[in-house]
Amino acid sequence: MTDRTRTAGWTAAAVLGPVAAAVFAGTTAWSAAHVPAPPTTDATSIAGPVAAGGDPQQIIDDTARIADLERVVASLRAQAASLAPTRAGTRADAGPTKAAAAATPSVRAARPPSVSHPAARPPAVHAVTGASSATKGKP
Amino acid sequence: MTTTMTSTVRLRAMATDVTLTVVEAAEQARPALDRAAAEFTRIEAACTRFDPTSPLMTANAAPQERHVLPPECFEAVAEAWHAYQQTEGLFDPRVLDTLVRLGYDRTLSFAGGAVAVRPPLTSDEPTPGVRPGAPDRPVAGPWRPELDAARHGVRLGDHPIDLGGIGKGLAVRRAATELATLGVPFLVEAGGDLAVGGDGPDGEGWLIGVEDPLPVADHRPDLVAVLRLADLSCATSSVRVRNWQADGRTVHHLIDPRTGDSSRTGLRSVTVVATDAAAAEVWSKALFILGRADIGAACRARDLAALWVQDDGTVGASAAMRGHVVWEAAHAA
Repeated sequence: MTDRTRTAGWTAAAVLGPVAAAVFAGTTAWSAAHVPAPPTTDATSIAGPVAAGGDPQQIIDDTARIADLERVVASLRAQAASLAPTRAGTRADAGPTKAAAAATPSVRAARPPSVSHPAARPPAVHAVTGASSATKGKP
Repeated sequence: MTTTMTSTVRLRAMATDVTLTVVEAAEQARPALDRAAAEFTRIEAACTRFDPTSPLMTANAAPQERHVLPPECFEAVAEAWHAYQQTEGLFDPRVLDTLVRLGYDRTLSFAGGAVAVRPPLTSDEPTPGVRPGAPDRPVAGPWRPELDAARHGVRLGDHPIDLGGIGKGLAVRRAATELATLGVPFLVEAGGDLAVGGDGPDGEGWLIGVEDPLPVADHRPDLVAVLRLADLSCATSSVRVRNWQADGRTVHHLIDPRTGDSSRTGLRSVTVVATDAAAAEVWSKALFILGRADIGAACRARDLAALWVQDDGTVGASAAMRGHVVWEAAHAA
């Protein structure tokens, strides 16, 4: 560092130091003047750490709520896993964009996205599409 | 699957077995079932290429002349022209020349096992519906038919055409329209082309198996997937059955207009789900011809619901098809 840059650094420190101290003091004063918001019931608020020495009933309730949410997460993970290809040789293409889907409404899902299940035997079917049902050629 | 009262009519048309099913008592369903069945016989009579006196073959005998066609045949030609444009020529009804030269100039009994036909014809051998000297290689040049919708007039162009696949798709579409008037669930089956109405007999959708196009071993199910459909159609293009020996080599009916030969692009079958039966028929064939390398991108570009089986048994499915798949075979390719 040259003398010129060293001088500039000290100058910056001299200016920023008081500014930072003022900001800190202002923040502290604001905190002292404001009462913390009451606990909410959304997921983000109860998932945080529970303060030691808090209300025992609140701790019990929060713990139960966390357990419930963990079960929900596990269920969602299981659903996501089942939506993945179940066969090594099967590959799915990337989903269509919303614009593409809107532009071609002629092809749509009959029901909400269904789940493939790797059962060994297929379910009973109402009909089969393929070549063997057209055994004598077309007109 | 619960037991529900259904009424079924079976008939033989377009050289395939046709089954019409409605979830309704027979006496209420009979008129609509009869009208739906009549669509198949009417379109077959107009569009068959195995009857030299049919309206299609009359036009094919002189494709450069103007012909007035019955409404069913005109609609099929118009639909083929639309499909040709939509698929950028992958669906080309002018492949009739190639089919005939490969020996598929008559109804072949594929149900009886291996089929062998005489060697392919030479360009100079006269054949009904095929002009002597017509090219037997890639279909040359764009197709430019002239269509007069007001008078049902057509001028096919330089080559005769085949309306087999699109005729069946149209018949399924029309039959479905007739059965839909009942307001109850229904199923139209015609040689792998299907249309379903409503949520099926038990309100949980129609379950449609997708046949495995490969020779099936004892330990494997005969299906590669099961789809759940409601108010939709599907069609499959496959080489499992309709292939034969011609001039010492195996050929099949799915002709690539770019090569003038049976399509060999790494696929054994393609199944397409669409709202319209004719569209499903067209795109299953076009995607088959397009081939393994490009089918995924084509499905993404057009948001097509397709499931395909490659030569090695690997199964692929587009994102739009995934929502319909309720079961798929776990066996390795």
